[in-house]
Amino acid sequence: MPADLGAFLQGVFDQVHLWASQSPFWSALFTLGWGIVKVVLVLGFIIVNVLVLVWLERKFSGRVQSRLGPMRVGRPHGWAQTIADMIKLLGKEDIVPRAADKALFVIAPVVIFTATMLVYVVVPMGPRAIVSDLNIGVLYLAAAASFTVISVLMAGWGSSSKWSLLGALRGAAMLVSYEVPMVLAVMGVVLLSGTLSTNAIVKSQSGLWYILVQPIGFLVFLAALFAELNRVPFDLAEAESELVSGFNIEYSGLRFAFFFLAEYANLLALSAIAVTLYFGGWQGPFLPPFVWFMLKTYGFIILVMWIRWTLPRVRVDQLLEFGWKVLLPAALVNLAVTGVYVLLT
Amino acid sequence: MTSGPPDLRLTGGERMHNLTSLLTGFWSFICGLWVTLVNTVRPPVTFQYPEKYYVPLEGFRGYPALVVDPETGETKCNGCQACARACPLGVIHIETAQREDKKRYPVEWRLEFGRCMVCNLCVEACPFGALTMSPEYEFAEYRPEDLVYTLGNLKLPPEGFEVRRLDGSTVRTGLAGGGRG
Repeated sequence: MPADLGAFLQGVFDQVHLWASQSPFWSALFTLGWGIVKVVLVLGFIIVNVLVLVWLERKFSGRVQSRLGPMRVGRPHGWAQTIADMIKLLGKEDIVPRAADKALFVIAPVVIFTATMLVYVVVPMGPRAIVSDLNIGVLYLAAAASFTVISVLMAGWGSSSKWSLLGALRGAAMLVSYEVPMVLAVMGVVLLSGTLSTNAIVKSQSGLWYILVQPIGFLVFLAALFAELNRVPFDLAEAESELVSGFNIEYSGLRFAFFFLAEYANLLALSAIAVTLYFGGWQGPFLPPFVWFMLKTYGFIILVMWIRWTLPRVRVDQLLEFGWKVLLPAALVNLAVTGVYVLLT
Repeated sequence: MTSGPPDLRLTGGERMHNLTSLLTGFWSFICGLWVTLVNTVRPPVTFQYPEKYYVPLEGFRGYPALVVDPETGETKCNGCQACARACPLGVIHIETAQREDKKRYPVEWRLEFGRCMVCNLCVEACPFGALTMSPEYEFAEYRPEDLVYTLGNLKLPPEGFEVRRLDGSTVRTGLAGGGRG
């Protein structure tokens, strides 16, 4: 975006704000309207990116397996495939199993999407492009990112199906094992930057990205990220070959589309978080901050997909053993060393 | 003797083993990433089928077809029924007639391709090299009776078909010649 357009929009915004603040009614309406604009912007950002990401994942997996991937719908390279899939999903029959706990079953997809949306609140996409620069941003992140498991449990329990329940319980076990090392790994970054605000963390990386000083912490974060995202090699909550499809097996149509959307929105959100914490966020020379942010995020997503299409799924006991016996001690050692370093300098 | 809780402490050797297995596991993870990277950057082995036609390898068995002599435009078949006898399923039916020079020729050559299992035994049984396996593969029909091939559509084009060899070169198949006839 050119600088003068940004300044123009800022000017318009300031004028409207000034005018609206003269009466309490217009002021309240302005606050509400500006909130709606923000929500629409974030929602549009998420949906457009999810459509691209699903296509990218299918294309990338195709290339990993020496295939072409989707080619038919939309030329070149089947770019409209996900749009066609979405339209198909919206047209499908919406089925609620007779034995299901109807309230839980219906709410679960909404909850998982809400939980994913919550993460976007503290993602800094530019120096000023952040929904809310909370001063407890990282703490908020840890809370919001782990919120998705509630929905997984709701969907699994509410479906009254043994497969979905098994998937949901696995998801809960995974969260308990991986949330702890993930937060401990992120604490290393927090110690170095001395702040919990995500935007301040990005600003403190103007000289050196934290991946260079926190390689162990980054590896622990990366491993825990896969568990958080329910992706191979840690996709035990939806292990297709064992649990058919895991917690979301009873869902169809629009509700399934919500789970699908949330999965990729989560991938984008956590990749953005990883870029914020370890790769200098929107910082970079020559290009505008938002472009740098998107470039880094998509680079990280490619890395995640690359690992996902390389590794097989681990067993449940291996997963828990890896979490408690490898990741947790590594994260603790990393935190201790970082703490000593910060204390001495 | 008192039986207390089992001693779960690791010995030094076990600790070493855990550490080395972690490191070798990480190394095999890196190797796996390299394998997928190599496969990602090389061109795909699949292609868009109707836009690009698959050229079969030499020896591809489509359906048994009659070789045509380019000089006379006739088949080399003289209706000896060797193929019909060799066929395990009995899907080949031949009716012959006699020409003025006493040579026999097929007036009807019928193959019930819907039941044919493409075993190549008829081609091997033919003493005159009049049969060969066509390298075509688009056989889908809407009606079962369309899968009964007759003399008209069993004749191969005299110029034959181009097929691939494993070394990448191409060769023509379905040409007249060969055999003892």
